[in-house]
Amino acid sequence: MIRELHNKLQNKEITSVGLTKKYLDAIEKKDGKLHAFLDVLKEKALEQAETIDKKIEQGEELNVLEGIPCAIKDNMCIAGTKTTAASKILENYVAPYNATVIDKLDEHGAVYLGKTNLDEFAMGSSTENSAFGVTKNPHDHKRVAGGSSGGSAAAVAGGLATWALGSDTGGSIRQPASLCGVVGFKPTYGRVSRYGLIALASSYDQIGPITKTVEDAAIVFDTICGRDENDNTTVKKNSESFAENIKVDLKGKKIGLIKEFFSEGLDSRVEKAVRQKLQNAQSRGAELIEIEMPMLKHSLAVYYLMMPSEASSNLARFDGIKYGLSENDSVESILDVYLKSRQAGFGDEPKRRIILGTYTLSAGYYDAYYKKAQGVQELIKKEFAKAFEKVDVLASPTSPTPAFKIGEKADNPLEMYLTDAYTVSANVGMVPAISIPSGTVEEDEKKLPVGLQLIGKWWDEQNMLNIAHSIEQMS
Amino acid sequence: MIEKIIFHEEIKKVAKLARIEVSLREEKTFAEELNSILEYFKDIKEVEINNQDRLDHFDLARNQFRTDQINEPQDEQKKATRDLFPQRKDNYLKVKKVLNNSH
Repeated sequence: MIRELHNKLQNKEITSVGLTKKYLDAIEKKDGKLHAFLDVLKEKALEQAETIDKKIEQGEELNVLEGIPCAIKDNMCIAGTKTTAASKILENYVAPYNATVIDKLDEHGAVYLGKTNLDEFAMGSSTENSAFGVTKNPHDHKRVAGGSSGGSAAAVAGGLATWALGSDTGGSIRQPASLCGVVGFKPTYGRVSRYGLIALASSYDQIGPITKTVEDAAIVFDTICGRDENDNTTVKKNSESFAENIKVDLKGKKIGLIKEFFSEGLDSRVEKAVRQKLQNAQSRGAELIEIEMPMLKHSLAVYYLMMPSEASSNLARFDGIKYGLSENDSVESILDVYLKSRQAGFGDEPKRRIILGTYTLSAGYYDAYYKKAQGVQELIKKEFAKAFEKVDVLASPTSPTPAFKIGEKADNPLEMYLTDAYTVSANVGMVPAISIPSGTVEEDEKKLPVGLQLIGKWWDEQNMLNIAHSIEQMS
Repeated sequence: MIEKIIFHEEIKKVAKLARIEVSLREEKTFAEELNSILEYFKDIKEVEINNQDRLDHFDLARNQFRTDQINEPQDEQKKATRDLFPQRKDNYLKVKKVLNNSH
C-alpha cells in the first residue's frame, strides 16, 4: 500500500496535500465515534505535505515514506506538540524534543496526521485505561480496539492513516492489530531506539509499525531501526533493507506450532481460523511441527512481576516538580507536592502497578520476586533458542479471543492481564514477533478479525517477515 | 517465593514509599487486587533457577560506552523546557523548601 502511494506521488497522479486532506476529512467524519486520535496535527501535516509537493514539482526523487500520512502513538515525543501518554499527569505536556524514531521519520519526510490514543502509559490491553476515553473497534463500535496501541490500530484499520507507530511491552502492538484486523510488528529487543518514548518497562519496551500489509511493516521498520547513541540497548546489525529483500518464501520453511498456546482458554473459533491459515501454508509447502514449550506458560507471571517493578521506577519522574500536573498551591511541603500530584495525575492502573512494583522491589522481597522472575526469563530465552534449532518461526494465535466488549473486563485487572497470554512471551524472550490477519469470527452479526502470531529468532526478522508475507499473499 | 497476604495497612505504607496518596477505599481495593495478582505469581515459585549460564541474545557480552559529553541544547529547546516548569522564577525552577524547620 505504501509503495503504491509512493509511486502515485512520484508520478504526480496524486499530491501529498490531497492525500493528507483525504485522511484529515476521514478523521473529521469518523473519529468522533472511533476516538483513535487524541490530537490531530492538521496544520503541521498540511505544511509538511506542501513542502513535499514542492519537491515533487521540482522533479526530486522521494523517499518511500515521503509525503505519506501516518499516525503516532501518543507516548512518543514530537517536538512542539502535546505528548500525553493518555495520562492526566501529562495532559498539557508539550515535548521539547523529538524521539529518535521521529527524527528518523523526519529525515524520510513522513507526514504526521496526529497522536493516537492508548491505555494510560501503555498500561492495558483495551485503551479503556486512557484518561481521555476509550477507542472503539472499527469492526464493531461496542467492542474494544485492543491495547495499549488501540488508537494506532483503529486508525489504520478505520482508514484514518496509511500506517502508524505503536509500542509493544507485552503485546501492545500485536494484540490491537489482531483485534482490528491489521498487521502489527514488534522487532527484536535492541533494534529500535526508545529515546523519546515514554518508558513503561525498559527491559521489554520496543517500538514498531502497525500497517495494512507485511511489506508496509518492513518499509517502516527499515526507516526506524538502527543503533542510537541515546539508547544503549540498540545495536548495529545487518544494514540491508528488509523491505527490498521481502519475498514469497514458504517452501520447506518449518513453522512450529506452540502446543501450550493451542490449549485451554483459547476460543475454539479463533483456534479454527488460525489452524486453517496454517494448513493453507502447509499446502503451499511449509512444514508444520508441533512444539512443546513448557517454560512459556510462566511468561505471564514473569512479565507481570518485572513490568510493574520497572514501571514503578520509570514513573517516579512524574512528581509534579519539573513538568506535568502539579498540585502545589494549597500544600506546604515538597513531599505533599509529590503525594498530591501523583494522586491527582495517575489513573487506577498506573497507581496499581506502581504500588505493586514498589512492593516487589522493596527490601526483603526483591530476591523472591524480581530476581526470581529474571531467572525464569533466562530459562524462557533458552527455550526459544532450543525451539529455533528446529524451526524457522513459531506460530500461535495472537489473542485468545476476538475483540471483547467495552467494559467486559474493566473491573478485573487479572482477567485483563490474561488477554496478553500469547504475546508477552516474545517480549520476555526478547524475540521479534508479528501479528497478521487470519480470518474472522462472527458475533452479533459482526465479523470480528482474528490474528495469527509468528515469532522469529533474534535478529532474523527477514525470515519471519518473508513467511508472514507469504501467508498474507495466499488469500 | 514469599506467600503472604498484603493488608490494606501495608498498601498505605507502600503507597507512601511510592509517593502516591491513596484513600481508604483505594487501600482496600488495591489490597484485594494485588493479592490476587501476587497469588498468580506462585506460578513461578517451583521453577528452578540456575544462575550460572545466561543467554546473551545480543551476542556481545560487553558494555557499550559512549563519550560523556554535554550536548548543549538550543535556546529554543531550553525555553520549551522552562515553559513546562509548574512554578518558576525568572529562569529558575521554583520548588517548595526541601528541609523542614522541625528537623
